[in-house]
Amino acid sequence: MQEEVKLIVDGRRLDGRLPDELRPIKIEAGVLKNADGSCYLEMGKNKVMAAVYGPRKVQPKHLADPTQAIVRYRYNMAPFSVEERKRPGPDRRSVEISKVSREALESIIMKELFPRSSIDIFVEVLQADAGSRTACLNAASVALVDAGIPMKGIITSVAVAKVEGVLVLDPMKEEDNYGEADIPFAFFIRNGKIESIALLQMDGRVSKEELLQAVELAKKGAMEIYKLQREAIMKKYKVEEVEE
Amino acid sequence: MEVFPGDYLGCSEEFLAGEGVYEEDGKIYAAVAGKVIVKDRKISIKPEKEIPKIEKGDEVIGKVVDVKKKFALVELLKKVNMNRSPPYYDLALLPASEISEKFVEDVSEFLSHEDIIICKVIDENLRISIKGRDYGVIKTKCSCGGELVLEEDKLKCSKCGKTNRKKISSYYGGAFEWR
Repeated sequence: MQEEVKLIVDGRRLDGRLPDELRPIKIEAGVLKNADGSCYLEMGKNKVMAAVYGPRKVQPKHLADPTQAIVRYRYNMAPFSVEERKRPGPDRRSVEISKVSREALESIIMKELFPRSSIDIFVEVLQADAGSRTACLNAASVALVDAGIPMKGIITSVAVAKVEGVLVLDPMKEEDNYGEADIPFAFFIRNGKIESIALLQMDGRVSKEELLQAVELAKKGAMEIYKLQREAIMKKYKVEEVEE
Repeated sequence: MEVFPGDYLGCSEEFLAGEGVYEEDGKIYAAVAGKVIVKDRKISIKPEKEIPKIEKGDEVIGKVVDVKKKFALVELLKKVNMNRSPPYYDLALLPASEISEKFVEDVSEFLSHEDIIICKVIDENLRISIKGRDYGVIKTKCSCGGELVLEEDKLKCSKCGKTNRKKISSYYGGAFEWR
């Protein structure tokens, strides 16, 4: 059964993309009224919503750090986000994704400006289609900018997969399930340049050369997403100015 | 000029780093999204969404957390006119001398634990004042747990009938609206 699935035909993928092409992305900032900053993001069939609260008083109090703010990140998948109903609540996978994503964002948030405060980020996956952690990170960083939280730059995230021996950018579900490897990246982008890698995970196996190629491929994709993230924020503020 | 976090603004020889920017390796970058303002060689960014900052002269809503004879301690909750909650601030000090124009012998006659007050910050060290008609208690409860109703200039408990002399704001009860 699995052998019959042809993922790459004539250099094109199942949905007609080239190996280095992203899925269509839609980003909208400031969609939630009660959150300090928010973002709705669609990356192909992925649909995620991010909300940022804070900096605010830490609840419960004993978690507060007297030298800097604490960052909390919650990645959660809605029960209806996947084909078979997902048992609601945190599980091994979502706890891990929350941890690595939080660490990626912590590296750019200027925490030392808000001692004893907390910055809470909530990301809900409404519909998942491979690479939801990358979509969530992209949404979370736009929401953080929307909330006006001081940051050194922005986090942009994209995944690379190896499918039938070919490296492909931004895999979709079929490629993730039947491919040989899946490598999500997150980059710290400052002033339109990639400064460092903030997150790198790997599922499956690739050679050293392939990994280096994958980094280059991901960098190219990340720059495209960075432009869209920037546009989303700028668009929101431009519209507000006209209304005034 | 509109900028985005991480945008390069200039080198540290050109400008002094102000609000909303940061300096690294002699280069100044934007830390928030907003408009660039250069004033007296100091570069800062006016953010699109501001994080509330409690400064001298601000009107703040607070909760009384401790009442002593000569002062009360107040937890600052929110700035008047701002829906966003501020980051952590230490407890503010309300000295007896800042409660009323008249001499105050005992603060507990005017304030009690858990009262919600509207106050003004009078210095950088978070000392607050409730002098003036608009400032003072906006929400409180009787010691028996009953609702206190304003009758002329006194508060009367609807349950036990006790009257209570407090420093009441002109916004007491439902009359308070975000100005």
